[in-house]
Amino acid sequence: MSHEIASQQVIKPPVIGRGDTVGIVAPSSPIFEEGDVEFTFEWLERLGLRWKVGKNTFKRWSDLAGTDEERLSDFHAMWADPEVKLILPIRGGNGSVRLLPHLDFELIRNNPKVLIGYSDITGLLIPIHQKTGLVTMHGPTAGSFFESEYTYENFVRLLTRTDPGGEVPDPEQKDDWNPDYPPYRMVIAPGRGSGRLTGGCLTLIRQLMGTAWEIETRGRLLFIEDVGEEPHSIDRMITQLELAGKLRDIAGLIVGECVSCRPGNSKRNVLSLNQSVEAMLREKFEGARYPVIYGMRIGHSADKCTLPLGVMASLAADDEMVVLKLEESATS
Amino acid sequence: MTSSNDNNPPARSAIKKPRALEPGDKVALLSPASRPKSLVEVARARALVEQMGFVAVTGEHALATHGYLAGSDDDRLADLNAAIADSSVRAIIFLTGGYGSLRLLEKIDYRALAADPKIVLGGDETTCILLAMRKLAGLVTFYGANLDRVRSPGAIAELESVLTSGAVLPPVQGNHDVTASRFCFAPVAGKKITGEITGGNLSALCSLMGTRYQVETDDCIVALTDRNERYDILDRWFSNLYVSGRMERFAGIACGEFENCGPRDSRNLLSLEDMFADRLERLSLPSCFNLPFGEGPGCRILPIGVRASFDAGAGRIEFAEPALSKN
Repeated sequence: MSHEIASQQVIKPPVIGRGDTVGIVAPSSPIFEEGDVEFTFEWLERLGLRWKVGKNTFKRWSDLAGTDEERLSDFHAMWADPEVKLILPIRGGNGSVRLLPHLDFELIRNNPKVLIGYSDITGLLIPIHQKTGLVTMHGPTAGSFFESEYTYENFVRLLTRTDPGGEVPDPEQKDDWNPDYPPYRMVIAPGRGSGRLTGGCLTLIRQLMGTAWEIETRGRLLFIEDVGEEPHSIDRMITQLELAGKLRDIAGLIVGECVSCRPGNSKRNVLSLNQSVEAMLREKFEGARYPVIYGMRIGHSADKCTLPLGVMASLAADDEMVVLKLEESATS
Repeated sequence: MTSSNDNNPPARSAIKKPRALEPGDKVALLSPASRPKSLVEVARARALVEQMGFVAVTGEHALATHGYLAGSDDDRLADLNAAIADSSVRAIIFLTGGYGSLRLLEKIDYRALAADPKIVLGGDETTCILLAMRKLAGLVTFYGANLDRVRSPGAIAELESVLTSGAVLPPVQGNHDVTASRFCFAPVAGKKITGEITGGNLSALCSLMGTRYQVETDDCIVALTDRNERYDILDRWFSNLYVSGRMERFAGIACGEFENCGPRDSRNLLSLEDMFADRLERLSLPSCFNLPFGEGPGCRILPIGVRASFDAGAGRIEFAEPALSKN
């Protein structure tokens, strides 16, 4: 059922340059305060980019930005629009997976462009990458690419250059006296591995299980992260992947920071007895046949690096250092 | 293909029904997931079962602690497989949910269970075990509340009658009594259909997606409930089932109680029923909301694996066969 996408089938989207047009859409949830988007425009201007906003972007239906039909028609319109080079969802939230049965993968395959986002947008990144071979980008949304210097620089570097991405840097430690936990790279299991990247928000990976868009992990470097999930809930999702054989033949596992995933931080499903995400990961993955690291700033972290799904990367983790290297460019 | 392949679900004819309990039968009380809140909970559960005339046997590790689990996987599994192997144990009832059942599924002794069918009853996250046992041992299992939530006189009476009845269980009937609005049902679509009862806790059901324990739902009456969960998260799991393409092959969907579920701190969120309804209508799937089953007080216990008819318009599930065999 799962198959590795052969390298010749991987399609890289054209590189982004000054004067290009960004398509802003809301395939998941809307922004609640509409004026928020103005900040995004200022930053796009600084990058020399123009923008178009999907006509249903500010619609509402429950917690979604309009009905499935409205969100989908905006999304399709951006892929069909030859001026648009970069599709930038306004935010995640909920609702991307609802679009999948009606998504026009043929349209996307024939019009390769950059799609970037995280959280609920994972529900588009993985299916589109797997069904079309297009490299999709796990990185910031319109509301967050300028949130920190680290996020901004990684976003710009991956999208506007065609040389190999190289080593993924760490954000700068803000206060040496009060270091962030978890550290940026904690080694759970040492080792070396290389493969094409895939992954995203764990809740979305779970939501795709048992569907035609279930994540394919064989031979891949897998990254996962989430927000507001208790340690037992992260365990539950990882265990489901284990039971589905998704962690058997991977090249390595990168577990992100997982913001607000410490006991009691989620405000839901809190258990009275607990243990940390770190302890759970150590129990599960110590002695794994592939490298496992924990703490990278991806997805919901304010500092987030952009990781391209489908790009060859290598991970080397030992007592001395952890190196994650993008062996290719993300764009063409 | 060999017929002994554990991956193949047993044919319908191979359904295994445990026998109804009789006074003096042993009942094992286990914690396959999280730990009961305190030893008082276990004492209360024992007293509950003893009052019904059964002999309570508490799992060795029922009160063990290991992070959020009631002991290590090996410990919890040892308790479960010991109860399955002990022919004097006629029922296994779970003390509490939480999380951890999923971690046991690979090593449950389904073969021994199929050879000596016994009552297995639980809810919340332990629903995973019930559904896996239905699939891999062909066993009729029981979805309701774990024992820590069986407190009201109604819930206790329901438990006792389900454990001891070799007859067809009474229908699950939604009501239109406007003074008792908790279970005032609302039909969405459809005609009267028949099928096997499956499902239970929605989050648990979706935890099995993509694994070999994934529930066979074709032509089934799929019961859905949950508790303590946010509407948008429940919409996610409902969408998971919907986009998997399997929902259109369900015979029907019976929604029970979604106890203590709500929008929480979302700023703009329709109710769960509103969010489910558009897709149920699109599929014209026989379905209704708010039938009196689930994990709260006054909820009926559902036998997983039993054939029934479902009349969404009348808010009624009528069982077609007993869930247990008589001695």
